[in-house]
Amino acid sequence: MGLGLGQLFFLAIQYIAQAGWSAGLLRVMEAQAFTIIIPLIVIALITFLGLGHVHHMFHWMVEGINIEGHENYDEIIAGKRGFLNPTFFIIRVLVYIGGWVWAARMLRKNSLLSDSGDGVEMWKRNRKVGAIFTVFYAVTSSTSAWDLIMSIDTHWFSTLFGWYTFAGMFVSSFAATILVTLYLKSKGLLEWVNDNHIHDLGKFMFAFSVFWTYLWFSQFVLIWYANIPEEVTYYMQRWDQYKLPFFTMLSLNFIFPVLAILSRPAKRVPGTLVMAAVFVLVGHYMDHYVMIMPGTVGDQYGFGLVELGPILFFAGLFIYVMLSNLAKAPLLHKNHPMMVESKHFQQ
Amino acid sequence: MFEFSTKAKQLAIGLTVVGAILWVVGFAMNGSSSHEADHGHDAHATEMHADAGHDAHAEDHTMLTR
Repeated sequence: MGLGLGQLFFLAIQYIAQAGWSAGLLRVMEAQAFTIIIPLIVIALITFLGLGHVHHMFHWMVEGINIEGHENYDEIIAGKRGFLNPTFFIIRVLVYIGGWVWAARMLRKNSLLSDSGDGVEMWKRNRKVGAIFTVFYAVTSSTSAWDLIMSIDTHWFSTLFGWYTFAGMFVSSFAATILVTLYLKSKGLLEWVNDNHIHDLGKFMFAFSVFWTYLWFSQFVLIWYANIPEEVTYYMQRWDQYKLPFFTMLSLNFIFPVLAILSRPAKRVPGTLVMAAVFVLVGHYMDHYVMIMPGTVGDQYGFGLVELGPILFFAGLFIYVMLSNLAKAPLLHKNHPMMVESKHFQQ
Repeated sequence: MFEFSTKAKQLAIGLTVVGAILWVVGFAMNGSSSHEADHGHDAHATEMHADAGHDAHAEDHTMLTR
């Protein structure tokens, strides 16, 4: 989901920041933003199957968990029932789906209208949509992270968690954009996208890898240092039982990007960026693995068909939705007020 | 204008189908072990008992001594 949502947010930012350099890449971002449709369907399924007690991913959905005297009663989880209850959860999930899909559709619609109409007027409309969505996303990126990931470890909480998952989402989306952009360029398309655009995408991927690392470290070291039992058990399980995925994740998400794409020349070499992007995507998959698996399967984890299958499944769907959306409209955002600036982008 | 070639479509659909098959097969094979994991209560390291905050055992739960 992060691949699409991250680029939807980045797309909105291009309008509200009046960015010119990226005008030539907006169609790629729009197509990528539409890939949120797939995981949103899955999230809706997980929500309703969980509330129907078909699966047990979320401990707080267990029957009787909030009823004092019930065999499943848990005082700590009952204390959170104001937020973690089925009705409010369903409302929030529907709000996420509605708001995010609305923004993706509106930004795309106005962009396509600008091809045959007034580019400046459509750009102004997208600026408004971008502004509304950015505020909406600032809230929902955190609340969705709490709902869908943090509530798996229902006793635990971290006030940094929303930002931490956003950072991972954002950097993964850049990795995917780099791969798609370089694929299109290898086909002889996006001829207006030059080394400087690619360099900037690489810069974003590097910068947000460092930002992710900063947030990871902030969350980890404060919890480790304070050593409060209520908080530290989260990392204890990951330290004790998930050491290999834990440190692999850190290496791929921080050490590798710093070593591979710190330098300016490295960010202008497509092969290096492709390698870095792939490693970043693998690393952030591992990050989510380490976030989710301990609370769901405990120490019964591994990497087999149940892990490989979904990777291929969602990769296939992502490629299909992304490329079919790319094919539905010209790659050149005609009449964008800053397209000339984008074509002459130098640094 | 980008054309979504037949080959690319076949690759995407192929990945999706193969992924779905592996997922279903893997789930069928692993389903029993996920039940054993008991993710309802004990498997949650963070799902400590309600008195965790007051429990004298809390001092055992430290990473500093590891």
